[in-house]
Amino acid sequence: MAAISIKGVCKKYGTVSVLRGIDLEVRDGEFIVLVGPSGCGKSTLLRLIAGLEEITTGEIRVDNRVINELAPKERDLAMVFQSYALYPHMTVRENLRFGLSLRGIPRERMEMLVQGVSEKLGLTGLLERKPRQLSGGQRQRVAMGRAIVREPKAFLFDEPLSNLDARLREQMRYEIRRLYLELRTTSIYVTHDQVEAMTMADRIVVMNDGIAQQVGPPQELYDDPANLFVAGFIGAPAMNLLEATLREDSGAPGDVTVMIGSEALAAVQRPSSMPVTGRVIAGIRPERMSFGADANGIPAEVDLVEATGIGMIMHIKAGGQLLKIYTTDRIKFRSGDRLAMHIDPLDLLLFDVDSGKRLRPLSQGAAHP
Amino acid sequence: MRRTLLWLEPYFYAAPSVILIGAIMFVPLVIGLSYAFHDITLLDPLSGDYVGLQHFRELYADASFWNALRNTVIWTVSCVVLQFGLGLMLALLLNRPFVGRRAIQLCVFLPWAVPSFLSGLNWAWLFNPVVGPLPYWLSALGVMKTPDNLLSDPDHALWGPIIANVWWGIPFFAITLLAALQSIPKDLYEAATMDGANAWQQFRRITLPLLAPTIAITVMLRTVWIANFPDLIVVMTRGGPADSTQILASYIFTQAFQRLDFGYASAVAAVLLLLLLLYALALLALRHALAKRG
Ligand SMILES: Nc1ncnc2c1ncn2[C@@H]1O[C@H](COP(=O)(O)OP(=O)(O)O)[C@@H](O)[C@H]1O
Ligand SMILES: [Mg+2]
Repeated sequence: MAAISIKGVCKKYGTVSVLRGIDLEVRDGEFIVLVGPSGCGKSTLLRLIAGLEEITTGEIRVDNRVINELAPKERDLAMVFQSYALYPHMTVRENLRFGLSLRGIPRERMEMLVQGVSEKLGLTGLLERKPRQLSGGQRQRVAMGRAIVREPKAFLFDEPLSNLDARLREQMRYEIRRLYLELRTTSIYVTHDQVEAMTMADRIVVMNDGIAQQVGPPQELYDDPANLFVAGFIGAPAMNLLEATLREDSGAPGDVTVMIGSEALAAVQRPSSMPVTGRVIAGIRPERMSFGADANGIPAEVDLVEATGIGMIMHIKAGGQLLKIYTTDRIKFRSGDRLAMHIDPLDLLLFDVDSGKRLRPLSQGAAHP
Repeated sequence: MRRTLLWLEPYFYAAPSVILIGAIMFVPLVIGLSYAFHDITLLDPLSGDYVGLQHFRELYADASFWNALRNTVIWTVSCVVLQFGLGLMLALLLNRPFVGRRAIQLCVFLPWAVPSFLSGLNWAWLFNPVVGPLPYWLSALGVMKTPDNLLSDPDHALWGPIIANVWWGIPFFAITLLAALQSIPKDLYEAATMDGANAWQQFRRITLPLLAPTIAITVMLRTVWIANFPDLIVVMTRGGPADSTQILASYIFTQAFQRLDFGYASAVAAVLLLLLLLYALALLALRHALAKRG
């Protein structure tokens, strides 16, 4: 087990910057998930840690030892690939043994380790099979086994579940998490799926465009996103992001009113840095909005209702903009119905239009209550 | 009756192609082989009789035949080994990315496109001290004492066509092995790197096993082709000097088209066919045994 420290890491391919200054402290025994859209540099960062690519500038330490110049073998990390990368000409047993035999581990100990891991992962009956004779989930387990059996300092996962169907993915997600809780080995897990990130991580790193946008525990990222990108990326259905303006509130001097179009959404505390134009992006989670058929609220019209089984996603129009409401109530609204929305001012997050940065109230510290 | 017809029905559908293939493949083979048991000499109007095994008895006593057989083994083994070894090296080199790779790949494949007779002539001239530079280079390097024609030295003349054939045949191995190399997923090597395998271990334990099927089939095909390939020898040395470069394939050619003894040539061809069949069967049995063990 090991702590991994990443300082100012940049990666360029020719003149193209893929990573632009990543800082990250992975604690000993922590499960970190790197999440972000395709092409944002997650795999690249993982491969830099693994030693499969060279670092352009910056420094990576494992247990306080700089590993920039170390060969992958000397770093003693294990990687699980999206394609599994099982050796097709070897049996499951040989796949598991490969890394051990290269390290000169005595035969008896090797057999013991292989036995232990295959019991843990339910591979005992499959040891003599070739990878092509296994199902997707079984291959996935062998790939995990190959990483675990070496007892490395840390695990690196590159989208290990994206080749599985939805049900199996859910199952394997659970199994990986459970295995981690048993082993407590430092893990860095890459995915583009925010549900995987939310469910598995101790802490999430949201990446976009080669930059770590925000690092924090899943719930913190959900409740208190640092910028528009994180707000929009984390959560499904996604947060409503509305074009709004701030109007000075005549009643209370510390407050401003958030307007969409001509409708007043809510009165909130004045942000510490007030945009000169008064234009902002107002964010609100679909499940934090309530509604009713009464008259006192923000008037809106139902555009479309989607049933998900657990609940309903209601697409509505208000102040000339489209937004979503999520509810687990059995509602009877239909397209064209009129209703009134209610928003708790504390649920409303404001973002700067240009920089996308979160605009926080003067009095409020970093965290949302 | 109806049932028999129903049972036969698929065979009727298959019959046209089976008959066609049979006619194309086996009729010439059988006719060719039957010559071996007849006395067929082109300019002798009295020939054509059935002579049984007489040609084979003559063969057994024919020192030129045994000499050609020995040369065939030397020729085939050295050509296959050198073509394969150099072809594999070339494929490994071409499998890594570098500037101008495409252009170099094209150049490498050029010899394959040169007609065999042309390349034979070309190499014959290269070895000829009157027009070619090779004898001077070889003697300057100390490989030869004096800049003589390699092809007129009975002790070493076979190396002339061997070198020409290696040059001509490397692209075949390079192309097929490169294709096989490129079909090995890159992440296998990355996984092996993470597992701690160095370059040699990756080659030994990933590349070679995954190339093995391609290697087996190409080596087998090439062996048969090379053993049957007299073009370069006929063009470069005509089997001489003093039969020192005669292989069975060129011996057949000589017997048939210079002595015009088609019967005897067919007998030699039958022996060559038999030997190659045995070789192929042995190789398949070996592969079968290996596959069972592995
Ligand atoms: N070897 C390479 N050469 C050039 N560009 C690369 C290379 N590898 C990755 N990239 C680029 O780097 C960016 C990030 O890639 P990657 O880390 O694989 O993204 P992802 O977040 O989807 O895993 C992509 O735009 C990709 O095109
Ligand atoms: Mg990726």
